[in-house]
Amino acid sequence: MLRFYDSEASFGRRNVVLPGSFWKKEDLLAQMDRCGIERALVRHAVAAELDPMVGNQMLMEEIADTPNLTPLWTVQPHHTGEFWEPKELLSKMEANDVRAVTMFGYAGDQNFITSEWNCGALYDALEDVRIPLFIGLVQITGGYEGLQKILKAHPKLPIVLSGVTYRDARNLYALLDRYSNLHITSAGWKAMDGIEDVCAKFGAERILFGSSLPYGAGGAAIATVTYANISDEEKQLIASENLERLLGGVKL
Amino acid sequence: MIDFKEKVLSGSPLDGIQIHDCHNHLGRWKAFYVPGDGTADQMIANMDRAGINTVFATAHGSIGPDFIYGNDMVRDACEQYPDRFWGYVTVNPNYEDGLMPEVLRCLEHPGFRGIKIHADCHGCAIEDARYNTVYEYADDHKMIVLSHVWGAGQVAQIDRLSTRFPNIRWIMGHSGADIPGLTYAMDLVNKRPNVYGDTALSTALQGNIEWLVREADPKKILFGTDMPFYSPMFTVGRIAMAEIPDEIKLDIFGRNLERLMETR
Repeated sequence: MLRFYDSEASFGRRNVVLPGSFWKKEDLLAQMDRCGIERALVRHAVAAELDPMVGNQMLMEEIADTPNLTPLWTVQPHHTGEFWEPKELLSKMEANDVRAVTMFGYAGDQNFITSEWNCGALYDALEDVRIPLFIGLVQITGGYEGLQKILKAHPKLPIVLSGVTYRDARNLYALLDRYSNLHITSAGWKAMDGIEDVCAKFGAERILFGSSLPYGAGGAAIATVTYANISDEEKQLIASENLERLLGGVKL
Repeated sequence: MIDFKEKVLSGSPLDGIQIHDCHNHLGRWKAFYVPGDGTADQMIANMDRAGINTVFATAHGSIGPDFIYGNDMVRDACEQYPDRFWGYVTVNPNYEDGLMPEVLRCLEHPGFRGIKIHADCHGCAIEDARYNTVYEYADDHKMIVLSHVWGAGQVAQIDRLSTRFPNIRWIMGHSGADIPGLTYAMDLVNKRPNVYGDTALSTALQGNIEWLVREADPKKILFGTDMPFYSPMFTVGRIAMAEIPDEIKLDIFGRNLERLMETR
């Protein structure tokens, strides 16, 4: 059986909870157990839907007694003073053993431009110590155009793109081919034989298992990996080892 | 009884049960790259890996611009795999020969077992009067009609049409898709004996299957994957791992469509 380490999960109260979904940490753990997911890199919904400082603090308090949940902090550019400057951010991350970040720049979320003039200092700091940035496609200003500029300017910044769908290959593949620091999560990448295709063209190292719990169905996410027509070694890379490698590469 | 969790976690086919997929396509598509071109051979390979016995298909070509190209592709798949493929005749109301002439042309082949409507792709309403001759024929012959149904507005059209044509066995593809659409669709499934919903939902929200089963008669929810629009494994896992009784999983995976096809 594969060991799963989920790269795309969250818990915490959010504005809207759709029928059948959940928000509590205990429910996330129960779903992980049902789906055979051993560990998860998690963010707190309040960090996305209210404020990173508040939500990150909640995250650390709520997972303190839960060793199979590792923290994913939500970050912002620092210019207003409401969030740490990059140097202080790294210091706080080191003190709390946090090895990955995400951000929500989309206008309907935290409403900031993710371009170099606004987030460049943040990207520089993350890149220096190889902290992976997990980011949804919709959160990047300019979508694939914006992503390409970040990848080009920061070739050593590991970027893990979520929200990639089966409709994205005609843009995604050019970037996967050109920028080795780009990865995707599996949650949205549900093209038929799509995992097989990315593995054959770019290598299994480029896909990280993501459930998108509590938004997406965990069983659906698991099945796209277990039923993929690739080797067991490639499946294990996707299921856990690629995330472990990225987190292990952080030089804090 | 099959151990669904063990099968999914080990990536083993769901052998020993009947799995019939009511909502599939074939071939390339304009809007995105389909790895492997979505061929019948490729679909069979995916079906074998998951344990899917049969797929009911309409081609991308026929929900797109060329109903003859697409329907012939479906006919060829049915000929190549007569025990694995069933065909929908896809009609296009923008062409006089895309309605009843196409239905009659295709139904000469035994592989075709139903009719497919995709009003969004063909730029009209499901209730567009140009479809009426096809609906009247389908009603007279108690046929299955699969319609793409996205949003509450299109569910409302099926609500009205299923009264006007009570002998058609209507399948709402995507079951309305968004939350208002799904809510209305489940209500319609419960109140109208000739209306069914399918599980072809690329969004695959957490708890969605459990919610559908709680809200609607589970004997009227049909397994649909949209293959090769996207991977069938996604929906296989979503249902196999759902927190619902195994008997309901067996109904959704295959028994409901078997019953529906027998009622003709």
